[in-house]
Amino acid sequence: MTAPIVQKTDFDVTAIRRDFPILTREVNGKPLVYLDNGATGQKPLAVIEAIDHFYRHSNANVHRGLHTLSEEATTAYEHAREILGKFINAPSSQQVVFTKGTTDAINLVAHSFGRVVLRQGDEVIISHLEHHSNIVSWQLICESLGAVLKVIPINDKGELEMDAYAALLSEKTKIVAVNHISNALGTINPVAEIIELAHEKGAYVLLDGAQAVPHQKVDVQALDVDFYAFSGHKMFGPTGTGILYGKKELLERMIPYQGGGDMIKTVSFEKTVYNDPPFRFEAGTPNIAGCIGLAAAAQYLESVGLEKISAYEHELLEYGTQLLEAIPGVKIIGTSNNKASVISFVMEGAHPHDVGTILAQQGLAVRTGHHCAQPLMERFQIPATTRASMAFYNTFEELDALAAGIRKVKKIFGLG
Amino acid sequence: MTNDLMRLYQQVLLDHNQNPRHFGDYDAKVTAKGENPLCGDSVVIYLDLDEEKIERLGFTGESCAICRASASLMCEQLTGALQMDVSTVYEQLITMLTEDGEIEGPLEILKGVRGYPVRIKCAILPWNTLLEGLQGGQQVVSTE
Repeated sequence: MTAPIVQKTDFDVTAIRRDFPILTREVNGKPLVYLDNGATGQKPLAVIEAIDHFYRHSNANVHRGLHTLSEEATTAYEHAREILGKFINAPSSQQVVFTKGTTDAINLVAHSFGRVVLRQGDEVIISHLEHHSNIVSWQLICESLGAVLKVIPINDKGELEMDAYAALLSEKTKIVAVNHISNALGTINPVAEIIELAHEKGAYVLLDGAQAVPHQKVDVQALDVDFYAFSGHKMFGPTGTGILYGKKELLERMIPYQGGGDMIKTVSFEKTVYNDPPFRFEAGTPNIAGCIGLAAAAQYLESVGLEKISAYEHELLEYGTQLLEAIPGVKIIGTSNNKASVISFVMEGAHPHDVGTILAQQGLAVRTGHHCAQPLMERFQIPATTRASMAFYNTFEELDALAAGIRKVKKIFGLG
Repeated sequence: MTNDLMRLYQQVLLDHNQNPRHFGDYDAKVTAKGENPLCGDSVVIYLDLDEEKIERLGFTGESCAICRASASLMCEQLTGALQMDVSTVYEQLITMLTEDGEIEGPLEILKGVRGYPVRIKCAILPWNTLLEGLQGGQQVVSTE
């Protein structure tokens, strides 16, 4: 049943897997095959230990005290900010805002920047590929300000129609918000071109990088992107963490999002003076341990090497695609030539829900549903897909298990 | 539990999924819609009542095998049944799915769903939709 495996990249996945304790788990007496990395990534020991260490040794509130623990916590927290800044090559760590995740970051920009630049009749461009967080956030702000939301169409391969995008852009366009990599299909968007075209029209670009940072090197300066948002938990860091990067002059123009401690300089009933970015957007006690864990995740990824990760995952993608294309009745949705390691598929005669349940019985963790991208599902006239999303700790053998699992589903359904 | 679910799939699917009973729309006196948008199940129930009896029952829709089989079994079981008996059967089904209850007859095959709480909403969607229709309600039913 296994195809000959010819791994071209020199990537020691066995050693990597030892860094992730959860991968030794069994499900229903079978080894866990975790192919749901698009939903959340597993955590390496480096991250688990960083959080454990913080709570055992240095836990205190940040920015607020003079005592030793508070100084240690503050130093660790701000050091985490620097590490994350370097991770995406931000010019300064002061342009890195800690958020609760990508959704939080997008909402922050839609609200705090949207309110500054959008007027009635202005336009915001998103795409048909977007996750609900990059749709609803803009719907909310456009509705409240009388701005208009435009949508870049996609082709049958799941790629943005760039001619249509160029035609949508006008002097009325103020913001373009698209995902760097599609969570549902794996399409890698031509973001450099998207940004260049937007800037020519004087529009600002936000990239949803949630599915990009776990899989490839991101350089916000090289991209010249205005805002870049991503989640910690998808890049093998803790849940409840995320980053918004913004250009300095844009962050400075942004109005506060939430009011409270830390986002102010002085408070009085007559006048309150807000703090500078990034603190202006970090009201209240942050997820201190989480941010420290996130920095550990960034350092771990850098120690493995993101170019190596990309290359290995590309091999997994090619292998998995080959295996699934060989199964009659299985149709892959999202067939761009430029994809991350995501394979979304539908099976003739079997609803994704049933596919997912039967695969789960065999220890295979995939995701079924609309992947928070209902408009995208609608575009392909399907209620849902089954999605296998690989990370750099998955193996070729695990993809063999996926293919075998899918063949078993077919058998159970009497599909041959 | 695992075996129950596999038995459910193997026995029920080869049967009710490929050859669902009472499948197809018709000009019914009452129609009711059910939708679980998050998981992608949708069902329409067609119902004709003759005084207190369910004279004719049918369904259409795009749904997973468990929802479809449940709808098929429901239509088979309840065609010709008294309207007042519907809630009794419904309660027995719910108890079987969520606790330790038993049910006699063909519906017993749905017991396998008990081991997969996430799928219970698929199994009861057609039933909740039928109840809405019987009560003369106009809402689109969801079990999410």
